[in-house]
Amino acid sequence: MFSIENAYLIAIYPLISAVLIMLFTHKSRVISSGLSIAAVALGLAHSLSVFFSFHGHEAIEQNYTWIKAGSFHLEMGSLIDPLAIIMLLTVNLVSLLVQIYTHGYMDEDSGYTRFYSYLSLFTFSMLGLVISTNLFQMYFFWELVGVCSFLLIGFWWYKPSAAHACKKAFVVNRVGDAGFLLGLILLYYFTKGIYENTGAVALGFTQLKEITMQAIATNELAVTGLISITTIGILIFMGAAAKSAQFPLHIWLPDAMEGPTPISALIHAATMVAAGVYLIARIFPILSIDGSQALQVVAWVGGITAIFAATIAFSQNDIKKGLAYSTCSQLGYMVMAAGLGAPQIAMFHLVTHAMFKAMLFLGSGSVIMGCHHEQDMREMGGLRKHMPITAITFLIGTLSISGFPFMSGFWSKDMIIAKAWEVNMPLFWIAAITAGMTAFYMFRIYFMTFEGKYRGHAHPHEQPLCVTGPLMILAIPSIILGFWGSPFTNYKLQHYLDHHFHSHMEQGQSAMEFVMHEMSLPFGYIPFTMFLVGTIAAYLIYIQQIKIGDKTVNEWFKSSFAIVYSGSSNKWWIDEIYDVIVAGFMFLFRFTWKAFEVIIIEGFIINGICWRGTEFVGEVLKVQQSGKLQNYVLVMISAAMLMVAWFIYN
Amino acid sequence: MDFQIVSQVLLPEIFVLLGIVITILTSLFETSKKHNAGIAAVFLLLASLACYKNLFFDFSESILFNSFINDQFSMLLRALIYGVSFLIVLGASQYLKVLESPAEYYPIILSSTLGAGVLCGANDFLVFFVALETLGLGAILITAYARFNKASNEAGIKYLVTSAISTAMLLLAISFIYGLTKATNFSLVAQTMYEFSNLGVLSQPLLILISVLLCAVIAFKLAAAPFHNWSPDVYSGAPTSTTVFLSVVSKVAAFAVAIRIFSTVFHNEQIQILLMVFAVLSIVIGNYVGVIQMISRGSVKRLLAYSSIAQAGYLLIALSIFTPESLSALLLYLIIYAMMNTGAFLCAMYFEQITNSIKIFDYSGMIKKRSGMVIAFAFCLISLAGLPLIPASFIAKFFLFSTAFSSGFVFGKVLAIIGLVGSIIALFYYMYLVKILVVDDVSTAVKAIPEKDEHPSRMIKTATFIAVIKLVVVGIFMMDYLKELATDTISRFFL
Repeated sequence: MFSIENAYLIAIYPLISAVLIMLFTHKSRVISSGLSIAAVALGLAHSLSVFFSFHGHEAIEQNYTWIKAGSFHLEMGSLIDPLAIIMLLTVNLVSLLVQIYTHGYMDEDSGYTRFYSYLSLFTFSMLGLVISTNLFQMYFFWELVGVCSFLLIGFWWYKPSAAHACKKAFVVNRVGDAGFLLGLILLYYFTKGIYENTGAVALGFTQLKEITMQAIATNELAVTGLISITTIGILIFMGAAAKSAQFPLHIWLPDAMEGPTPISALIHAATMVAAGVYLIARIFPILSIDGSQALQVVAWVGGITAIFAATIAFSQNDIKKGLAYSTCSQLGYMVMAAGLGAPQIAMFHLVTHAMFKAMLFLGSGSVIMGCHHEQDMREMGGLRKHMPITAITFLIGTLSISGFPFMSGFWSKDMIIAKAWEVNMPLFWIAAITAGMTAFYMFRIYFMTFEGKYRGHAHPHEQPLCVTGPLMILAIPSIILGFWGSPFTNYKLQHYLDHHFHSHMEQGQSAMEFVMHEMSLPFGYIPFTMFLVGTIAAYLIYIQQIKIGDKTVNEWFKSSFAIVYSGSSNKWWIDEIYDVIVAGFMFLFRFTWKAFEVIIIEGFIINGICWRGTEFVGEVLKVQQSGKLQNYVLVMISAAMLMVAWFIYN
Repeated sequence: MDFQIVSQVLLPEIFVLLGIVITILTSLFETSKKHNAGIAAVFLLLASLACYKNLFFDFSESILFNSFINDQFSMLLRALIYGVSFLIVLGASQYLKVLESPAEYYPIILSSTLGAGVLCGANDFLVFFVALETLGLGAILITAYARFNKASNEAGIKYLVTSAISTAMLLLAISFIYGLTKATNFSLVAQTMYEFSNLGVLSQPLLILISVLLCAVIAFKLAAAPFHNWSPDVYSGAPTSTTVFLSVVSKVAAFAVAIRIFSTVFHNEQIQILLMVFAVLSIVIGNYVGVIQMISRGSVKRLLAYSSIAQAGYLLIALSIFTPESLSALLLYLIIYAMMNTGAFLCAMYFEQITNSIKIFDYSGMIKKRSGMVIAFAFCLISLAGLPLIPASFIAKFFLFSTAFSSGFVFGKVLAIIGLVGSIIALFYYMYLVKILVVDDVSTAVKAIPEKDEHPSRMIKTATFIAVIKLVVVGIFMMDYLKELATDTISRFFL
């Protein structure tokens, strides 16, 4: 039953449960949540079976005709290769745990079953995206996850902030998706002859590189220039940048925290935002075509996002906003890794990040519930005594993301920094500094929330098992998953993914040799040093509360570096800059709208030609329908005679 | 002559004939009168199935001294005609205007259907004439069938007089042809004309006269402009079951005979020009006056009459282009048109029945009371407009215009553009009608509708349902097959 051949069923299970909940069982809480959880559990079991039965490295692909018109054809199907399997496991696991958690979090909400139907729908869309065989199918599901994200951010639509946030997320994503679609169409346009002649899956991933190379070899497609494989790569990357909240399209992600916390964990930390990284990994073969500059852009956008988001995370007082900027920064790491030519490392960080960030978000949700829906960290503190399980799992997550040695995040982040060391020195320093900043702001969140004295007015309490359970389960991969890609297992995960990227990491180095090798180079110390610096700084400032002069460090910083501080807390005024730019465009558009739309189109064409013109012609033509029989007869006979006369005359 | 072959070829017609005889007999007895509709429906269904059977076994034969031909084309269109007539009879069985005196309606509509069916296979000008008259006279009778209704009587007279003129023109044409070739059989006429034109003795003015007269007769049957004037009056005055018959069965038969004559007997430039003029005039008049009809809050049946004038115009585009591709597109659109127009008129029939009015604005807000039928109606109207809701009509219309566009003639492109502009104008009144039924406030007439129908209407609903389901099934699963069938059928004319 759980065979590789019918792996597409993994995506179908949640679709079935979503449809059933929406149409039939939405009245019953128990059946709805049961269905939704069962569907994703089934999916996880199936994914595991696929994982264990997948031997060798040949991708297993099945395609079904989606659209066919003449020689134009589009397919939908399932592509099962290591990359997809890793994502299937991640998505199903996080989705399952989040759905269990949701039972505790949304218990008192009147939209409980609606929430589950959306969750199922989202899981379906995400899994459909993962098993896509071609870019068109991926675009289709890409939009579907966008819609689900819209629905879930605006789940509490009656709150104006949530309504604004979901609109913002949708609009910003449209900008990226427009680029994605444009890139897609351009790529198809230049290669369509090959696809139509050979009958190969249109923009199918397995042959993407060969066919694109053919187009380049026949000079149909340039490598650099205004319309070239470079710009196509960048356009498609725009879609990935919007979905993965890369600078400057990151602005929607922090606002998206208006959605319920399980959504923040599932969609806006672990899975959907990682879809951008997944897309980059999928199209990596064409991004990395010799001579293409696209990867440079990708790497720099990722690097800038990583450090930029980290600076904002310094000054956020909302626990979820802080985590959101951290997500943004980590996604920057992944994008940078892919841009540096190591998508398997990006995928590695994606998986470990999915685990610990989902756990951190779920933990923050637990804290929010414990503090009676208080999200401001200034109203928290000392929660470790009240919520021990949440505190410990949160600490594990914090250590992992900060890069504490031998935790999951340590391995994956270290690999990225090591890659940057090899390839691009400026980006190495950005990544290294960001690592220190990450440790600082994550421990800042941890200390402000769980240590010290309680500053709020509620009565915090630990949560039931359906909330803490997923936390504890996620803590395990947050600690040990990293070993899968570490030197101790000889980079098993990376080798597992290698085939897809046609790159080969050097093998045969033993773990001990690697450690010795790393210790002999500066970059071996730098990440760990950065971790120590960040952590100790956070400890000194938030626990010891050391003073500079007579002020605390925070106050001193606010007064001495006012611009930097207000920049960070105001998110570097990016939203305001957008406002100005958009307002400028609006002015321009309003002018053309007035001149063109209102006067020419509406006034002249629509109301003039279309309305009055049609009416006039109709009124004139109406006359012939007099209702008098003799007129009809006259028309018939004279028409016949006239035609005969006309033909004879000619 | 092999009697067995004749009986097999004419099996569908024998069924219809049996239906006529039996319904005439039963209408003599008060007790069995009420079964007439059922009997007629059963025999029409049998006739339709018999056509399908012949079509399935590809049973081509010409019989009775080559005067009736049973090729794929005639079988396909006969199957369509009997199938649509079956739906019409089903709907008429519960239609009040017919129910006033239900007995004789069915033998008459059956004989009209028989005429239409024979017309599809006619291979001789005499058979053509007789079949056309059987169709026409029966249609006049059922137009004036609502005896105590002034509009119905007026429609009957109008139809009678204009039909008489068209018949006169047809007879004139046939007599000219006979005078020219000493033959009435299609293939003999074609052969003689070919020989004469090779010898250079074919009289061109006479040929022009024949062409014009034949085109006029066909345009009259199609209700194409400028021979369309009778149709809005007759369509709105006649009982609606008759209106469906006129707008679908009559037109399908007329197209059948037109395609056959022009492709097997003779075809010339004049015919092409004439048909183009008819097409343009029909599209322009049908759509523009349809819009006025909509704005001036006229009757639904009149509006649908103008819509069918315009639809005939689209079909005439393909007929005037006259390439194998355009004719197969024509055939495809004809099949889809038959279904969607039947559905739309059946819905109109139902609404007329429950509101006792044919005024458009008496139907506003109907969705509050009869959502199912309104959805069916909207579905048929959207299909008529050619929107790709269910792709059947969209694909068919697309082929119709694209074959015109790629025919290689300049005028083909012009015609396709006129057709497209006409479709856009038509979109207004189709969608406005949908808007009135769905969005607008409930009218007093609709408020007065009881929750449950006063008169039984299950058969009307069933017939509508079948038409809509056919459209959906064909649109989703069978367009490829139908297109191949149409191409194959037409290609046999051009061997």
